[in-house]
Amino acid sequence: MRILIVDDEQSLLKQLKQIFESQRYSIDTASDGEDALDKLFETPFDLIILDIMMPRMDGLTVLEHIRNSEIDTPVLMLTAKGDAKDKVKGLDLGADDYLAKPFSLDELLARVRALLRRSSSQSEPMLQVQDLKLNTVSREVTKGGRTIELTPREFSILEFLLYNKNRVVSRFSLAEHVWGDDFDLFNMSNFMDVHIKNLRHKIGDTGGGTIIQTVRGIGYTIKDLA
Amino acid sequence: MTVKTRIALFVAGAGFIASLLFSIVVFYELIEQPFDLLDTELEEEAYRSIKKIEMKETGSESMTLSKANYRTYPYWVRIYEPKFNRIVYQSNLAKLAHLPIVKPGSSAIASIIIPREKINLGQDRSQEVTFRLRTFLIPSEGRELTVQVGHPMIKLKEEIQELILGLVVGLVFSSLALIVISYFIAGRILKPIGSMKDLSRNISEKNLDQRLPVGNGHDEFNELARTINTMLDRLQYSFIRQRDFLFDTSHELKTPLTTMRLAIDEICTTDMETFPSFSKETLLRLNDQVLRMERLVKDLLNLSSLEMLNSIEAQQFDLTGLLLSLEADYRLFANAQNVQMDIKLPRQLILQGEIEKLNRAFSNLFDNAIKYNMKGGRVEVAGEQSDSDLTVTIANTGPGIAEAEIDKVFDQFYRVEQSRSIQHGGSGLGLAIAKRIIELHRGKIQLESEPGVWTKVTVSLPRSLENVHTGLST
Repeated sequence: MRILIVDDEQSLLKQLKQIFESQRYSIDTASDGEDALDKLFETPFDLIILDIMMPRMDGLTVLEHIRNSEIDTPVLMLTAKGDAKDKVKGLDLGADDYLAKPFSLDELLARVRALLRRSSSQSEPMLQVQDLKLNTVSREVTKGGRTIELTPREFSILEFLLYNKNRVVSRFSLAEHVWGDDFDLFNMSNFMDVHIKNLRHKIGDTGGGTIIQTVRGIGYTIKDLA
Repeated sequence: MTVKTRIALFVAGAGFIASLLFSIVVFYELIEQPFDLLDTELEEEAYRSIKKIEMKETGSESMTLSKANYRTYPYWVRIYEPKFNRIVYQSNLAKLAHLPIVKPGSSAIASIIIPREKINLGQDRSQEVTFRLRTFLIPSEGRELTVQVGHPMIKLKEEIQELILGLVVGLVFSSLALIVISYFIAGRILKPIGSMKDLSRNISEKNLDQRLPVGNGHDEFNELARTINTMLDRLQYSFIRQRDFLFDTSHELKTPLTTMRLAIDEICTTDMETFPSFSKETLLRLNDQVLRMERLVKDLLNLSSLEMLNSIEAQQFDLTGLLLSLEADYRLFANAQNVQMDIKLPRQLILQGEIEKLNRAFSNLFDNAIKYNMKGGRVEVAGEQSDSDLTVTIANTGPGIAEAEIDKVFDQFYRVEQSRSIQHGGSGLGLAIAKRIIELHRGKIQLESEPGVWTKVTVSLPRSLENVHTGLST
């Protein structure tokens, strides 16, 4: 999978490159809009991560050029503005998703994976671990063919953990993903534990947590059996 | 004494002095006239008397005229021949009243006492009669005669008294009128001062865009109003700059924060297991601080963008629904803190407002109520409504806030105890944000507390925002 990351901030660009390369993605970077367009017209990419605020040509203009040239590569917009207007404008111009800075690594990876899955030929919107299956479109969860009823929050937790399969998800990024910005989530660890406990119970993951594992001091992880 | 009173008294005082001077001038002018008249009369009487003597000596007519005079205008007449020092003629009055001799060609005023029983000249009880006296040297039939003529001034005295009375009454009335008018005028003149005072009293960072009305003229008040307005312009400008600076700074912090957070996340979720425990702890502490800083930056941005707003995108919605869904989220959080939540709301609390913002405000209040609580404590949420307003109270057990501190809790970065806040996380902006949102909805937020026992936050919101501007701007 080949990803183009466009941001004028060098340190962030390097950090993102390092992260994605460690996840075995192939990364190209561009530090301004014109550079980004040059690279896009040369090489096909599977995903573009595009910062809105850039000198010379901003992200929205780049996006407009891309869509006008009928390149339908999925675009994930990054912005420092938490402004709803920017979000709407970006999505109107054809961005596929939108992430406001600062964001967690888990959130970024989950979004990227979701976008890549959606665009790839793999049409089945299924996330799976062992015999537990989660359909991201119909929002149905089954275990061994049996349907499991989850609350929206529980579904959201499971989905996020599955998107980050084989990675440790911090408690905080998980809470942030599920509850969003309105909550002051700092120091709410035991709150998360209650939700995880309920979720484990529902998916029959009792006795030590064989599906959702706790990583002490950090968070949780779902791993494929080796 | 107010400036208004002072101006009124000053103007009235000046007016009084002016009219007093005018009255004095008028008085003397008016007084002169009857004297002139009287003097002319006396002169005529002198010549008439001479003529009478001449006629008498020629034997042509008797003294009937002087008798007629006696009844109404008794003249005091004495004619003598200085050459022989002999009285040629004297009127009846001159026989009775002895008046001093006046030099020929001059005039005088003399008073003598004449008993009323003797002659009634209309004199008052003091029986004093004042005479105007004039003496003439008149040639008659080859001899020089000295004629001294006098006339009581009783009528003239009355006239003078009347004149004085009239002037005094006039002066009193005009002074009163002057006081009233000048008070009114002072009020009109000072009106701009009143509006300046009102503006200065009401102005705060929330309505810095208010300005004084400035007239077209170039008078002192307009100049003052203009000066105050430019001062407010400068204040507003620096205030906006400061706010924008805060917004921009917070904004700029976001990208480095993202980099830091991604880096820490990356380390925490990959190689953590291989770290020595010291590094692990340090890293987790670092992570905590990055997350705190992130929260702080978000709240700062939130607050400063709320400060920039002066209106909301209101829609009709049910606050009960919003509060119940918030409560559902916070109940788990509360349970985890061993805090019990009770919520009692009317079936519906319909109002006009911006859902997202009110959600944020009440979220902050719920958050505080749970965090600043105690083990085994309670949070009670209640609501009620009237025709125009609705009220939501959020009460919680816990350490509470000392009375002296209550006014400060809505200030930015205020926290009851520094040590506690670190444990609780909060940016210290939660209540400031909540207050601003409630204010944007034209509502009120109040906090009461009994230290060591409980704290209660009361939010009241108007149900309708129609025809009301938020009144907040800048």
